[in-house]
Amino acid sequence: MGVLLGTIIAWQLVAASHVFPNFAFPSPASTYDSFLQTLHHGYQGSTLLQDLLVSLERVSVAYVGAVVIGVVLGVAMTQSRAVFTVVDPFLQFLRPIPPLAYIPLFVVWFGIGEMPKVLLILVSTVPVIVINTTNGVRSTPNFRIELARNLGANRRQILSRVILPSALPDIFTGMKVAIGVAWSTLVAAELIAASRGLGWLIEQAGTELQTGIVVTGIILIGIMGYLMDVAIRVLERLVVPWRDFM
Amino acid sequence: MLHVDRVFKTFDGDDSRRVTHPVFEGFSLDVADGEFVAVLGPSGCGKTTLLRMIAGFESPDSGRIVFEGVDVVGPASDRVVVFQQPGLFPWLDVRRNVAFGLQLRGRRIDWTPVDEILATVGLAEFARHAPYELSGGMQQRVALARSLVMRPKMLLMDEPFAALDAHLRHAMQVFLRDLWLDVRTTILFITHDVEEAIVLAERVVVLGSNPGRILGELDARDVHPGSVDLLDNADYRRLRHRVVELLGEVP
Repeated sequence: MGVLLGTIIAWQLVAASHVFPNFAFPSPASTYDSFLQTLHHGYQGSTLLQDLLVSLERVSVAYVGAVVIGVVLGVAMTQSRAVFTVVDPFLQFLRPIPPLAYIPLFVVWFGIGEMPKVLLILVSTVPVIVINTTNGVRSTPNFRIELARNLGANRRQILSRVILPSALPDIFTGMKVAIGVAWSTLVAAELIAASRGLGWLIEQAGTELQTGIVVTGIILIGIMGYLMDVAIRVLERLVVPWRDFM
Repeated sequence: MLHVDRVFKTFDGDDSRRVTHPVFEGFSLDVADGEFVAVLGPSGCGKTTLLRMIAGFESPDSGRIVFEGVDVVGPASDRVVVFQQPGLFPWLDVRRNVAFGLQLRGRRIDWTPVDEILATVGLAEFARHAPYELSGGMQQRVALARSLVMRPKMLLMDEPFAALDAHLRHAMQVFLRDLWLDVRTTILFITHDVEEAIVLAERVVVLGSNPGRILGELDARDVHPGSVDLLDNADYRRLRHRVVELLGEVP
């Protein structure tokens, strides 16, 4: 809290010194004005809340999809040699490519609607989930599997009642990384190809030198990213409270 | 009840040794119904391999393992292993851990035997606790309850108390001995601890290594873990002396 207050005071001091022109370096006060302005009256036909909700909707749809696809694919890769052989090369090839590199292609294919953004998030987050899921499945302690077999579990029961729960802590590790990746990928995509959303807002405001709105957008993007991270951590504590006791 | 009949087993590619290395060359052992047998031996004598073959996790290269008249081909819930680690499922509470095996046959189960067995191991009031909220000894008792609730004909115990401190280990030995007197399940108990083998079992099978073979057998019916001071116990001293003699013969 002290750090936050100190930062705002320092920010105000630098702005008040007029070292940088006001249009380039807005003061906290004028940023707050911009915040209220976009909140109540909107900017270019959409309010701050609308842009925020558009971004949130995109990221949540894509994120939930990525977790489902990633876990299913990750488990399938550990259970079937064939699936692994087919999927793994793609995964290894896709991993080092920055997701933004796909934007031109996706815009050509799907335009600037919702589809390319959701797809972009999927492409950037599914590998993260898959890799952590396969790690989790493979690190299931062998004695746990043997115990379950000993007590009469068949292959399917071992998968659903032993291996999947054992992999949950690692799946959550992947989910925590993926939520950050998803959010920053989305904002970046909105900067380039969107007509709504927080990324679009700061890009538009920037071209009109509305730096107050730009800073508002940046702060909001940061806060939202932080809140999503907190949300996943809370969920993790509810679902895998044993994680630290393994 | 159990016949291990001229079993041959070699071990290959174990992390340290690259060469194949015979663990058993024609090893035989019989266990009668209701017996409490301890298999005592130094590490590397193959006692864990023996237990894993009886459990059905590994198969002998040749020879037979016959349990209740049927060849062992894989793990089954009539021969349940209790490992050194309790290996409880951390996402299930104590009660559901105990019920794990029963629920494999169908989610809806009669909870009466589960609660009975929890009472037997003295953990009725911990039924709703998470495994990680329990001490090591309590966790091992849950593991035991999880095995016992399956009503196995035989318990295969692989150094189950080795990870516990001396005080707790003694308490668990008393507990297990009383439990056995009560339920009379056949128990094969693997250990490298001479005292543990003598106080727990009726019969102690002393194993030597390279290859694993029986050096001798002891009748330990007269010594119990309850005995106040073992060193004052003439039977215990005699048996202990005999074990040292047997193990001393190892070349």
